Amino acid sequence: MTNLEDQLRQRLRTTAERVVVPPTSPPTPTTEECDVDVDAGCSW
Amino acid sequence: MQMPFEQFVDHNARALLGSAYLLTGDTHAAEDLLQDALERVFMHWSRVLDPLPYTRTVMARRVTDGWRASRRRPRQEPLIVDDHDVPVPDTTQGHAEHADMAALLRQLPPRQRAVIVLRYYEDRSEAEIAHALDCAPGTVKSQAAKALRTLRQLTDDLTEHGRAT
Repeated sequence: MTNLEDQLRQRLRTTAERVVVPPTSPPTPTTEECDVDVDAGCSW
Repeated sequence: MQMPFEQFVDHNARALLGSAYLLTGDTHAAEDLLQDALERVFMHWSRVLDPLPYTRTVMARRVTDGWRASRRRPRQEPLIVDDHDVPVPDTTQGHAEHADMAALLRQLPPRQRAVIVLRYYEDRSEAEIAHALDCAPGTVKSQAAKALRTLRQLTDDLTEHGRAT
Protein backbone atom coordinates (compact mmCIF):
# COMPACT_ATOMS: atom_id res chain seq x y z
CA MET A 1 0.00 0.00 0.00
CA THR A 2 1.53 3.29 -1.09
CA ASN A 3 1.24 6.58 0.70
CA LEU A 4 -0.84 7.96 -2.17
CA GLU A 5 -3.30 5.09 -1.88
CA ASP A 6 -3.63 5.66 1.86
CA GLN A 7 -4.21 9.36 1.36
CA LEU A 8 -6.68 8.70 -1.41
CA ARG A 9 -8.67 6.28 0.73
CA GLN A 10 -8.85 8.81 3.55
CA ARG A 11 -9.77 11.75 1.32
CA LEU A 12 -12.47 9.82 -0.51
CA ARG A 13 -14.00 8.82 2.79
CA THR A 14 -13.86 12.35 4.16
CA THR A 15 -15.29 13.83 0.98
CA ALA A 16 -18.18 11.37 0.84
CA GLU A 17 -19.01 11.91 4.51
CA ARG A 18 -19.37 15.65 3.98
CA VAL A 19 -22.12 15.27 1.42
CA VAL A 20 -25.39 16.70 2.66
CA VAL A 21 -28.65 15.07 1.70
CA PRO A 22 -30.88 17.79 0.24
CA PRO A 23 -34.15 18.49 2.01
CA THR A 24 -37.23 17.14 0.36
CA SER A 25 -38.86 19.83 -1.75
CA PRO A 26 -41.90 19.95 -4.01
CA PRO A 27 -41.21 18.70 -7.52
CA THR A 28 -40.04 21.36 -9.91
CA PRO A 29 -42.29 21.69 -12.99
CA THR A 30 -40.56 20.38 -16.05
CA THR A 31 -40.60 22.02 -19.45
CA GLU A 32 -43.23 19.57 -20.58
CA GLU A 33 -45.47 20.35 -17.64
CA CYS A 34 -45.19 24.07 -18.33
CA ASP A 35 -45.80 23.68 -22.03
CA VAL A 36 -49.46 24.64 -21.94
CA ASP A 37 -51.44 27.49 -23.39
CA VAL A 38 -51.73 29.84 -20.45
CA ASP A 39 -54.64 31.63 -22.12
CA ALA A 40 -56.68 28.46 -22.57
CA GLY A 41 -59.93 28.77 -20.72
CA CYS A 42 -59.72 32.55 -20.35
CA SER A 43 -62.76 34.24 -21.89
CA TRP A 44 -61.79 37.91 -21.82
CA MET B 1 -37.61 -10.63 5.08
CA GLN B 2 -36.39 -7.64 3.11
CA MET B 3 -36.93 -4.15 4.45
CA PRO B 4 -39.31 -1.87 2.54
CA PHE B 5 -37.70 0.12 -0.25
CA GLU B 6 -38.55 3.44 1.40
CA GLN B 7 -36.83 2.35 4.59
CA PHE B 8 -33.74 1.33 2.66
CA VAL B 9 -33.60 4.75 1.04
CA ASP B 10 -34.13 6.54 4.36
CA HIS B 11 -31.35 4.60 6.04
CA ASN B 12 -28.84 4.81 3.22
CA ALA B 13 -29.50 8.07 1.38
CA ARG B 14 -26.48 9.81 2.78
CA ALA B 15 -24.05 6.96 2.16
CA LEU B 16 -25.36 6.47 -1.36
CA LEU B 17 -25.22 10.17 -2.13
CA GLY B 18 -21.62 10.14 -0.95
CA SER B 19 -20.80 7.39 -3.44
CA ALA B 20 -22.69 9.22 -6.18
CA TYR B 21 -20.80 12.41 -5.44
CA LEU B 22 -17.46 10.64 -5.75
CA LEU B 23 -18.57 9.02 -9.00
CA THR B 24 -19.63 12.33 -10.53
CA GLY B 25 -17.63 14.99 -8.67
CA ASP B 26 -20.71 17.21 -8.75
CA THR B 27 -23.55 17.62 -6.26
CA HIS B 28 -26.34 18.01 -8.80
CA ALA B 29 -25.13 15.17 -10.97
CA ALA B 30 -24.83 13.03 -7.83
CA GLU B 31 -28.47 13.63 -6.95
CA ASP B 32 -29.55 12.78 -10.50
CA LEU B 33 -27.40 9.66 -10.59
CA LEU B 34 -28.76 8.42 -7.26
CA GLN B 35 -32.33 9.09 -8.36
CA ASP B 36 -31.72 7.22 -11.60
CA ALA B 37 -30.16 4.27 -9.77
CA LEU B 38 -32.90 4.09 -7.14
CA GLU B 39 -35.54 3.96 -9.85
CA ARG B 40 -33.77 0.98 -11.34
CA VAL B 41 -33.30 -0.72 -7.99
CA PHE B 42 -36.97 -0.20 -7.16
CA MET B 43 -37.96 -2.02 -10.34
CA HIS B 44 -36.06 -5.12 -9.17
CA TRP B 45 -36.53 -4.65 -5.43
CA SER B 46 -38.09 -8.05 -4.71
CA ARG B 47 -35.08 -9.79 -6.26
CA VAL B 48 -32.29 -7.64 -4.80
CA LEU B 49 -30.49 -9.54 -2.05
CA ASP B 50 -28.01 -6.92 -0.84
CA PRO B 51 -29.38 -3.54 -1.88
CA LEU B 52 -26.57 -1.23 -0.71
CA PRO B 53 -23.72 -2.69 -2.79
CA TYR B 54 -26.18 -3.41 -5.57
CA THR B 55 -27.25 0.24 -5.76
CA ARG B 56 -23.62 1.36 -5.69
CA THR B 57 -22.85 -1.04 -8.52
CA VAL B 58 -25.78 0.29 -10.54
CA MET B 59 -24.47 3.83 -10.11
CA ALA B 60 -20.91 2.90 -11.08
CA ARG B 61 -22.10 1.01 -14.12
CA ARG B 62 -24.37 3.85 -15.19
CA VAL B 63 -21.47 6.29 -15.03
CA THR B 64 -19.22 4.05 -17.10
CA ASP B 65 -22.04 3.39 -19.58
CA GLY B 66 -22.19 7.05 -20.57
CA TRP B 67 -24.96 8.21 -18.26
CA ARG B 68 -25.41 11.98 -18.24
CA ALA B 69 -27.04 14.13 -15.59
CA SER B 70 -30.31 15.78 -16.46
CA ARG B 71 -29.89 19.33 -17.70
CA ARG B 72 -33.53 20.24 -17.25
CA ARG B 73 -33.27 20.80 -13.54
CA PRO B 74 -32.54 24.41 -12.60
CA ARG B 75 -29.19 25.00 -10.98
CA GLN B 76 -29.32 25.48 -7.24
CA GLU B 77 -26.83 26.61 -4.68
CA PRO B 78 -24.30 23.80 -4.22
CA LEU B 79 -24.82 21.82 -1.06
CA ILE B 80 -21.15 21.36 -0.37
CA VAL B 81 -18.58 22.73 -2.70
CA ASP B 82 -17.97 25.09 -5.54
CA ASP B 83 -18.82 23.58 -8.88
CA HIS B 84 -15.97 24.96 -10.98
CA ASP B 85 -13.49 22.67 -12.65
CA VAL B 86 -10.55 24.30 -10.92
CA PRO B 87 -10.06 23.90 -7.19
CA VAL B 88 -10.85 27.09 -5.36
CA PRO B 89 -8.64 28.06 -2.45
CA ASP B 90 -10.64 28.09 0.75
CA THR B 91 -9.66 29.27 4.18
CA THR B 92 -11.51 26.32 5.69
CA GLN B 93 -9.15 23.39 5.43
CA GLY B 94 -11.80 20.68 5.33
CA HIS B 95 -13.85 22.34 2.63
CA ALA B 96 -10.78 23.14 0.58
CA GLU B 97 -9.71 19.51 0.64
CA HIS B 98 -13.24 18.48 -0.16
CA ALA B 99 -13.43 20.78 -3.18
CA ASP B 100 -9.98 19.69 -4.28
CA MET B 101 -10.93 16.02 -4.15
CA ALA B 102 -14.07 16.61 -6.21
CA ALA B 103 -12.07 18.62 -8.75
CA LEU B 104 -9.43 15.90 -8.95
CA LEU B 105 -12.06 13.23 -9.54
CA ARG B 106 -13.63 15.27 -12.33
CA GLN B 107 -10.31 15.19 -14.16
CA LEU B 108 -10.56 11.41 -14.53
CA PRO B 109 -12.49 9.65 -17.29
CA PRO B 110 -15.68 8.01 -15.93
CA ARG B 111 -14.31 4.46 -15.95
CA GLN B 112 -11.15 5.40 -14.10
CA ARG B 113 -13.20 7.41 -11.60
CA ALA B 114 -15.49 4.44 -11.02
CA VAL B 115 -12.54 2.11 -10.49
CA ILE B 116 -10.98 4.50 -7.98
CA VAL B 117 -14.24 4.86 -6.04
CA LEU B 118 -14.96 1.13 -5.97
CA ARG B 119 -11.37 0.24 -5.06
CA TYR B 120 -10.44 2.89 -2.53
CA TYR B 121 -13.78 4.06 -1.12
CA GLU B 122 -15.77 0.85 -1.18
CA ASP B 123 -12.71 -1.38 -0.67
CA ARG B 124 -13.72 -3.85 -3.36
CA SER B 125 -11.26 -6.31 -4.85
CA GLU B 126 -10.14 -6.08 -8.45
CA ALA B 127 -12.23 -9.16 -9.23
CA GLU B 128 -15.32 -7.63 -7.66
CA ILE B 129 -14.81 -4.40 -9.57
CA ALA B 130 -14.33 -6.29 -12.81
CA HIS B 131 -17.62 -8.10 -12.20
CA ALA B 132 -19.41 -4.86 -11.27
CA LEU B 133 -18.18 -2.99 -14.33
CA ASP B 134 -18.37 -5.99 -16.65
CA CYS B 135 -14.73 -5.87 -17.70
CA ALA B 136 -11.57 -7.94 -17.25
CA PRO B 137 -9.57 -7.77 -13.99
CA GLY B 138 -6.60 -6.65 -16.05
CA THR B 139 -8.61 -3.68 -17.24
CA VAL B 140 -9.39 -2.74 -13.65
CA LYS B 141 -5.72 -2.94 -12.80
CA SER B 142 -4.63 -0.79 -15.74
CA GLN B 143 -7.40 1.76 -15.21
CA ALA B 144 -6.50 2.06 -11.52
CA ALA B 145 -2.82 2.52 -12.39
CA LYS B 146 -3.63 5.23 -14.93
CA ALA B 147 -5.95 7.00 -12.50
CA LEU B 148 -3.37 6.91 -9.70
CA ARG B 149 -0.74 8.28 -12.06
CA THR B 150 -3.05 11.14 -13.06
CA LEU B 151 -4.03 11.88 -9.47
CA ARG B 152 -0.40 11.87 -8.38
CA GLN B 153 0.47 14.33 -11.13
CA LEU B 154 -2.49 16.59 -10.35
CA THR B 155 -1.74 16.50 -6.64
CA ASP B 156 1.89 17.42 -7.29
CA ASP B 157 0.73 20.30 -9.50
CA LEU B 158 -1.63 21.51 -6.76
CA THR B 159 1.15 21.31 -4.17
CA GLU B 160 3.52 23.20 -6.42
CA HIS B 161 0.83 25.78 -7.12
CA GLY B 162 0.15 26.12 -3.41
CA ARG B 163 3.82 26.69 -2.67
CA ALA B 164 4.11 29.26 -5.43
CA THR B 165 1.27 31.38 -4.08
